[in-house]
Parts: sequence; structure tokens; C-alpha cells
Amino acid sequence: MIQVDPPISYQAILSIRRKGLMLKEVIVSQSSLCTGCRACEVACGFHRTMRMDPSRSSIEIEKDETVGKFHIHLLESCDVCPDLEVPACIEICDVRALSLGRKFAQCELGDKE
Amino acid sequence: MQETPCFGWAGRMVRVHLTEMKCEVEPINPYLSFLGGRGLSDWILFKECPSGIKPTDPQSIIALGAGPLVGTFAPGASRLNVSTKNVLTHGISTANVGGHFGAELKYAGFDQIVTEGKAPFPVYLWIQNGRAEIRNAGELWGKTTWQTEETIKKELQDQKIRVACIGPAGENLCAQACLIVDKARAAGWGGCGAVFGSKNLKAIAVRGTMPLNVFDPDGLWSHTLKLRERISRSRASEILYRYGTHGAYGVGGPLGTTPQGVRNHQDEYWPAEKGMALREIVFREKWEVGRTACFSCPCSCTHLYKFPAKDFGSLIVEGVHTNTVRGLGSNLDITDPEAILLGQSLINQLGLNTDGVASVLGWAYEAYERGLLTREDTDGLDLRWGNAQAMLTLLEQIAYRKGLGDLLARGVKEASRILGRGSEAFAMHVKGQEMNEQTVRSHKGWALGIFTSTRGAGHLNGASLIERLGMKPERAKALFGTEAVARPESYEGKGKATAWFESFKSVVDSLGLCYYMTLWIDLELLGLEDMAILIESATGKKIAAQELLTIGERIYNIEKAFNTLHAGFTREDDMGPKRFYETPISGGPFAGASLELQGYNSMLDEYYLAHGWDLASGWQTSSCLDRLGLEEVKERLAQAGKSVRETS
Repeated sequence: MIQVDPPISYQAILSIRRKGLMLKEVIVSQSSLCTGCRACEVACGFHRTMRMDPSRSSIEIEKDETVGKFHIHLLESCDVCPDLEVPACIEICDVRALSLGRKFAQCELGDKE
Repeated sequence: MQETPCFGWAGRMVRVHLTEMKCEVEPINPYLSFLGGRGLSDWILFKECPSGIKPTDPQSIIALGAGPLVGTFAPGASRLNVSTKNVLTHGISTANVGGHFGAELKYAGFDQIVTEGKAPFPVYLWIQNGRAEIRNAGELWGKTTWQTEETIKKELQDQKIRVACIGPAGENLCAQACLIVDKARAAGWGGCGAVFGSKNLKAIAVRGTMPLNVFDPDGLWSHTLKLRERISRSRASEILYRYGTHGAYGVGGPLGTTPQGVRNHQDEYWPAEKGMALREIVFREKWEVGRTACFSCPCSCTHLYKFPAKDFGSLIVEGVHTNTVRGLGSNLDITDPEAILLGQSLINQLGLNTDGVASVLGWAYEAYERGLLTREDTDGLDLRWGNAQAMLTLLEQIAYRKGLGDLLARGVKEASRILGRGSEAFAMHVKGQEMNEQTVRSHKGWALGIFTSTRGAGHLNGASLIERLGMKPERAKALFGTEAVARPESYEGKGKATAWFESFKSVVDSLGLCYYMTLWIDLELLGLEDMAILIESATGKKIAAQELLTIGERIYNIEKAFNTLHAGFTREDDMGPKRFYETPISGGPFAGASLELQGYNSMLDEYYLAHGWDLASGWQTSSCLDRLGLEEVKERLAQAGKSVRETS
């Protein structure tokens, strides 16, 4: 599970950028809230294909029967729905097990810098 | 096979001929006027299941179907309908189950599975991406539902497979046997597990990665989001999420005042000191580890409990609903919450229907208390009210048909006929289907819905919750002609409301939605207009709300005709057990309430009139069937001399 980072100051952002790091948006999951309905899988597959196709989803829900909990797996292919204000999986998750967060990622600095 | 592009529907059904051990794939286009799910299954059953056979004969048919919304992200679009000839009533049974099987079936490319014949040896059906295959289930026979699911997943090396299977109860043709999906969800009604067992069909496994097309993807997405927000904001949804059905309607619920069946429905008042022991909060604080939802459900009414059980290690129990706590609790005067959890766990593993076993156990305990059954008959079991250990022992005995279990596994009606000596009077069933109920004496419309249900003794057809929802008088009057319809104690307007809900819920089941998403549970939730929009965006078919209701009425009339032809039910069969008229509730806010014969008959008259059925016989009239365009049904009934031609 990806941890939510605390909000950071402008100075900190500048400092991070100088070091060649940038903030990247990610889907943050809180599996303790997940009820395993898999609407996120369908929504994700739908956003990619315009069809009901969870097999093309970038998110997978797995039930752990030994403890009665669900695991949320975010796959590498997740692009955080750049064309949507709110990613499809977050939009459809009624129990708020998914939200938008940021994490530090090593990246190339762009021309603007 | 000629296939036309389908939206919402996967477009195919698989016909499984078990005697010949072969499968055929067919397009479903000719059936689409019945929507899918329950409507389509009922029509196939009506057309193809011969009358005069036993439900467990090889010619008997099992029709399973997932409606056109199942597999989409429409809220609660998970339901799978299982229509069979009812083992207990010999009429129709429409069992219904959530979980993830229905959606997986759609992704595997099928809307329906129709099964007939009898396999020469135990088999299971394996459906994957447009193909169906019958496989040997020799290894699975004798296994519990949990072991069956695990073994199939291991054998086929895919943990994402969804399994619907029977347990030992189904193999042993118990009248209370059901089909278990995802280890804990039950298509419980009508002994459908015994029909599977009689065909040597142990399980159906599905897995699909085929995309499902919808007609207007963006429209479906935006409408779904609006509906989901409405559901999330609704009071019913919040209560179901927080407290489950147990907290909302069960023993010792938030109000603590809902009358519950007590000691085999002798009463509907259980004193607070007993109810407190089984309140939802007791289970939640001690054992709850999470919530779980069916496919695409925003309200997740099922709570998961983890507890250490003697001889079982650590158990995760799912499916403890209001009916569990009543049926194994107040119904048997049992106040031990751990026994309730263990009981539900056994019920899931053995493949039993909670309501069915609760009813037959209530009857056995009462017969023992009255001295009609002795320790000799029970192999030493002491069936005094409150004995939890005896309940757990009997659950296994029923599933394996051992000892007294062999008698009880025949269903409460048949068991009481065999025992005789007046025990028929306290066999709690309607049309043969066992019952485990609440508020029958106090809420008159609820009782009418249960007694007239085509599946027998079911509160999931016409029984309406409007008596408990605080419907505004003006809305009640506009919908059903009288403000009294919202008052529990009144007999007015209940006939119309019951007939309306029977049609409404036939639509809900045919689309594949869960009732908890609809105005049945909360007047602010989905109505016919919302469903019409969902259907149009998913399938491209424009069906007005009123027309949808007519389709629902048509489906219900097919079931009614099936019952008349196969079981010969008449008005008398819609009256319900005498106990509800004879013994009033002894305490609590509804003290003194019971059904009055005259009042009940007036409701029944109003109900038949609302449907256009004959008042004297309860049979369908030719004008009703003409209005619904059910020509073939009319002919079959006329040939059997079981419909009424009006002389006006």
C-alpha cells in the first residue's frame, strides 16, 4: 500500500525540485475500507476501453480469506486518468477506499526549470 | 451460430444436456422481451418444464440467469436468478443470489445457463470465455461448499474463478438444500440445491475476460454516478452499511421493537433481556473484522466476523443476516451469539437454506416440547427451547440425513404429515415452502405479500416495507389510493401495494439489481424511471417506466400460471398458517396484534382485483392474460381447465 504523504511547503517543493525530484500524483488506497465490490475494476477498464472490461483494469481487488480483508493492487499501467478531473476508480468508490495522493518520484526536469 | 451485436446482454445462453453430456450455445435474442434474469428464466421454465414430474426428476429444468445490467457498474448490479421447479411447493421457485458469480458469467460471454437431464456420474460445469465444458466431479462429491470452491480453483489453477455449488445437503436431496456462491451467498429458495443434486451437478465454475458492450457508455457512467450519490446519501444505505440487515431489522435492532418470530412463530415478542444478548453491536464489537459487498454494490450490507471456534480453528463467517439471528435465535429461544455464528458457518458449508432449516428446527423443538417427539426419536438430543448444541447437531444431521435429520430434510410440511398427531398445525409454511419471518401479525401488508408469493412464504416478492418507511400520506394516496397503506395495522390499500411490488420486483430481478438499491427499502432510491434510464443507456432499448411495470406483471403472471398448472394452488393456498390468526403477539409495542380473517380476506380480494384474477378461485382470468399478451399461457391454462373466462 502506498502511504499518504503529508502536505509540504513551497520551500520544500523547491528544494525537492533542485534535487531532481518531482511530485507525482498517485492513487492512494486504504484497504481497510475496501469492501471488495470491484466497481473500481470495472470503472478503470471502462475508462480505457469504453466497455465493461475489468480484465483491462489497472487496479485489482483480492480477497484474503484467512483474515476477511481485501487487498488493493495498483498495477504499473495506472496512468491516474490524466484526462479526468477525478480518476474513474476514485469517482466510483463509495466507501472512500481510494483517493488521490502524491509521492516523490525521480524524474527528468523539464525545460521550464 | 448467427450472432448480432448485443449491448448490456452478453447475447448468448448455454444449454446443458446432462444425460447426453453435451453443451450447446444459442443466441438469446428471441427472449429479450422478458428482459433477462428472472423474467427470461421463468419463461424458459414455463415453456420447457413438463408438468406432472417431480422437481428432482431428470426432465426438471434449472434456468440460471444474470440480467442486462449485471456486470456493469450500475449500483448493485450483481444478482443471479435461479429458477427451478420448487422441491417444497411443486410450483415455481425463483431463488436469487448476489456475490460475483453473475458478473463473471457475463464476462464469460453468457446471460443464461439452462440445464436439463441427469449426468451419469457427478459432474461440474466449467464455463470460460464463450465455451462450456462438462467435467468429472468425482473428487468433489461429498465435499462441503468451501472445499468444493477451493478444489476447483486449485484444479483449474485460477483464483479468480467464481463458483456456485451445492454442499452435502444438495447431494442428499434435502428440501432445504441451496446453491452457495462465493462460499457464503445463497440462492436459498425452493430446495434448488436438491435439484442440482438430483442431476449429479455439483457445481458451476465461471471465469471470463470478455468485454461487455453497453449502448451509451458515457450516459451510463454519468447516470450511475448520480444514482450512487443518491444511494450513498440515503438513510437506508447508511444503516445497512453500519449495522447490516441484522442491525436494521433484526433481533434487538436499533429500535428494538420489530416483532420477530419467536419459538416457531408462537409469538412475535421476545423480551429485551433475551434480545439484548443477540444485538448487532454484540457481534460487531466482539468479532467484526470488516464489511463485504456483492459486485458493484455501494452499500455492503454483509459483515465479516472472525471468531475462534472449537474444533474449527479460526472461522471467518459471512452471511449473518437478520434472518440468521431470528431463525437460529429467537425462533429457537437461543441466546448464545457464538452458536448463531457457528450455525451460519455450518449452513454455508453444508449448503443449507437458513430460513428452511430454521422453520423445520422450530417445528422439531415444538414437537419435542409437546411430547410428540421423544429422546428416542432424537437419538438422545434434548430439543428443549434454547438448546444451542442440539441445533448445531441437527444442522449436520439434516444435511447428511442422519437420525432425526432424515425426517426434517423432507421439509416441514412433509415431516409433519409423516409424524402427524396434530403436528401439521404448527408446521410453519406457505404452500409447503418453510418460513422464518417477522412482523406477520402486526404488519398486514407484509403478511399478504408473504402468503401470496409465487415462490411460497417469501417476503421478497410483494411484501412491502412501506408500512415501516414513513411514507407521506399524500404520496401513499397518490400511489395506492389510500393513506392507510402506510399504516401497519390497516388492511386498506395493501392488496394494491402488494400487486404493485410483485410486478416492480419482477423487473428488479430481471435486470439483475439488488432490492437494497430500490425504493423497496427507501422511497428515495431507484424507481422505475431510474431503471428505464439505466436500461436505455446499457442496452439501447427505450422502455417507458409504465411499460416496464407491465413486463414485470407479465413475468409474475407466468409464475402464477406455472403454480396453477404444476401445483394446482387456489385461493385457499394464499391464506397462510392459522397460527397468525389464532395467537396474538404477547407483548411489546404490537401486543395483541394478530391477523383477522375478515380483514385478511378483504386484502386478498383487493389483491386479486388489482391483478385482474378471479376472487373465488384465485386463478387468472382470460381478460388479464389477454391484456398482458400472454396467449400461450392462456391456452395452457384453458387446456388444463384452470383459468376463468369472465361473463360480463
